Amino acid sequence: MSSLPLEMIAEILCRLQAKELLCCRSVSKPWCALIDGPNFVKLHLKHSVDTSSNLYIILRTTSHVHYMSFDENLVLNDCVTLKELNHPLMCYNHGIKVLGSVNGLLCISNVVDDIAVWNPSIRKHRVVPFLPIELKRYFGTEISWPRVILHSITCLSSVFALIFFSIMTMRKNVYSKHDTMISYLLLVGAVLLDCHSITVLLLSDWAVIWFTSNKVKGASRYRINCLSPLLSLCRKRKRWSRSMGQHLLTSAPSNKPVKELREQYFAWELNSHSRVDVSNALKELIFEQVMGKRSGHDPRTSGFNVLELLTERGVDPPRRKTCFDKLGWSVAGVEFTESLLIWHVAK
Amino acid sequence: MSSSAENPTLTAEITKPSTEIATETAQSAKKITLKTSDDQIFEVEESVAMEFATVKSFFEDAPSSTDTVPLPNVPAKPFSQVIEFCKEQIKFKANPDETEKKRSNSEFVKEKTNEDLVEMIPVANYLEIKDLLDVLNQAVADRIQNRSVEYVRSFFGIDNDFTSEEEALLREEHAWAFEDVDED
Repeated sequence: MSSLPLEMIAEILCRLQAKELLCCRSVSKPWCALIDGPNFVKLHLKHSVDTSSNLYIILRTTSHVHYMSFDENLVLNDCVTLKELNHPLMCYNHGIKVLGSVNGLLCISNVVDDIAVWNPSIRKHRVVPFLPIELKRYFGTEISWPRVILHSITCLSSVFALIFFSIMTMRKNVYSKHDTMISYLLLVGAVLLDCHSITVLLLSDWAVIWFTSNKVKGASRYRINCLSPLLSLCRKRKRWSRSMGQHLLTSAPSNKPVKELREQYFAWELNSHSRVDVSNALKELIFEQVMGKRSGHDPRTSGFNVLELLTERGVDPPRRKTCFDKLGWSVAGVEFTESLLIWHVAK
Repeated sequence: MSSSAENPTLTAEITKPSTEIATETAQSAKKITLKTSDDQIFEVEESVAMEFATVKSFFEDAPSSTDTVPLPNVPAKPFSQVIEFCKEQIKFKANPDETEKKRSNSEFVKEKTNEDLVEMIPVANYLEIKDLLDVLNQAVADRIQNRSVEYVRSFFGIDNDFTSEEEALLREEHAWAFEDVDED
């Protein structure tokens, strides 16, 4: 039997479902190249749209995604069968969001703002890279295991101190009334402080990421599920709030001369520590810069050093304008706040 | 349900023009001679030949031509089956009945072997008969649907040019897709 040319094969294959096409990829090399090619993808999509085939309804409950084939169930018979789709993001029951869909692709996100583009028909997904702009806050709330242990020890010890003290004073009161009251106040204060820091720790990004990561399994998973409504309530504020903190120069470690200069030249601004909204254009600029920086300093390589990254602050623009030799002193040799002020004055 | 309720009025409107066409074809009954690649001569009624877009454009370019039309890419065996299909189609042109047309198309396809179908596709493609091409493509798709890779290869006469490692890798990538495949 003579074999058909590939363009005629394409016309036949575009009538098959995605699952069958995945099998057909292993028929031969030309077939695999044909099915993977962008033209065939378009042809298959066009045929599906023209003939209203491959239609699915996606239904979402809090943490599960279901699908229902449109042509099989609704048209042919009245019975509705829902099938579950295993979505690729970690969520337990923190909830999964479907941000949108186009041409059979779904965009989904979970409680820690992981975003993935997902093709349920071929069960493949790509996680959108973690926005580097969020790194700053992530660094700020970074907590390590020693800190967790330290927190628990201090919390436990103050609780025990309080219990022992109350038992002691109940049996035989050797101290004066004032002494007892002051000791109680101090101990209760310490317990409250420790409880607060533990709560902060539990609600931090680090904890959420740890909870949703693979390591937690079985019984502890059940406990986390109880926590989840609390978590989602406390995490109303997005990690990237679309606003920026204004830098307060007076709070910087630099001393008198800076403060005097500031009062002289910028009496009307920089007085308050406030947040301002960031426009999309500025956000894009920041994003580009951070991406550029990241490509230069990959944390996975051995020579990565955060301090080295910080000393580069402000070096780039003069270098790009090829006047680093003349103006380099204003950024490289001095403290960052001073350098900022110099450039402000120059402007 | 609603379409069948509308049908009586539709057919009533169409009866008149359809009889006109019938008398017209009877009057002219012009035959067109077509020569296939293996030198077989087919005499086909003009109305049937006009279903082939390629032949139609041949006569549009040279209206007065009475010569035999050469069809260099068309072997005789699948061509005779194509003519059979087009003769059926012409009936529905005068009297469009979608359900009846579908039934006749599926019957046409049902009695053909796999080989017949695959041989007819290039012919339908060359003669630019869109309806037939649609029917054939769908029929072939239905026949290879949910079948094993080996079956698809033998269906189209394709040699496996993957090494066993490459093929295993491809299967592993989407192992779930190879489950629940029909037996050959």
